[in-house]
Amino acid sequence: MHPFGDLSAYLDGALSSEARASVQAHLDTCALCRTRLAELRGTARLIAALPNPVPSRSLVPRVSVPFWLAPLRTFSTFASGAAIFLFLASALIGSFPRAQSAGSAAAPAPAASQPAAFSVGGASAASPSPQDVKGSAPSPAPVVSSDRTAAAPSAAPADTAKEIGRQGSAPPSSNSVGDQIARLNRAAEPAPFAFLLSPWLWLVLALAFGALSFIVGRRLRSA
Amino acid sequence: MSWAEPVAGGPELADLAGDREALRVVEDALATIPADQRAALLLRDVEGFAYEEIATITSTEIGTVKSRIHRGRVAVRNILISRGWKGSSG
Repeated sequence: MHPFGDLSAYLDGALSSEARASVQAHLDTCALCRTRLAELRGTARLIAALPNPVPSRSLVPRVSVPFWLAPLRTFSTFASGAAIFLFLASALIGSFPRAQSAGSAAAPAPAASQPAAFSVGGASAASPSPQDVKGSAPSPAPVVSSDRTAAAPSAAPADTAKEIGRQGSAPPSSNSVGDQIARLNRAAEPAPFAFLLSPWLWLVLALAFGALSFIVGRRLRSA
Repeated sequence: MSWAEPVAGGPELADLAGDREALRVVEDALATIPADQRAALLLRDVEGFAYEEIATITSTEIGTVKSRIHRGRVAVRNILISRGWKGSSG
């Protein structure tokens, strides 16, 4: 019976003239609805009296900043990220070619030095025990005679040293071939763009762009 | 929707708009009601928009606006009553 639902609209003047007249007529006879209406009016007044909230900081910049400052910060942030990625990529790529050229230079050298090492090792292997290497008499040929009685013990160490020295000279000549191949590999790289593969370049750029982004960001926030 | 009854013997909150205690209670009460009711109430009582304008702003029907405003007001009124508000003298 009571038009409670219309009381607020009645208060706000949002009822049609017919509805308003109907509610008015009811209010003249109903104390309860008059009380409810007064309470609603008091509530609306309290809400209207609320202080307006103040933003914690100004929503409008106090000092105008150059229009290109915000885009600069965005670009600098992305550039820093790209530089970090390139730093990691160049560091990864940089670890490969050195291994390849070192491997190619090392490949001929071990292969060439293997016969020499084999013969030196063969001289020691032919003797019955490691202590007898000095005592044994190595021959210039790869085939070694382990006739200990034939060589004098005093002359054996000198002969062994000379033999190792002669056989040791073989590997350096093979190594020089490997060195030449390694130098060709390095020379084959195009020199002008080699610095782009330097991880330090990208690390420095990443730090520089990151610092720029941070500084511009602070300038924008303080505006 | 129920109308809460006044608390007997409770502390009396002034219904004058200048009383800070009552305003604080109203502010807390507004935080507890649903967001759509709160928005309609603030648009009506703080900003002074008409029902038609609020319907446009909130993309709803006038009937919805009327219902939300009434429910929101009753909810805040109930909270005030429960805190000892004796109601407005009109």
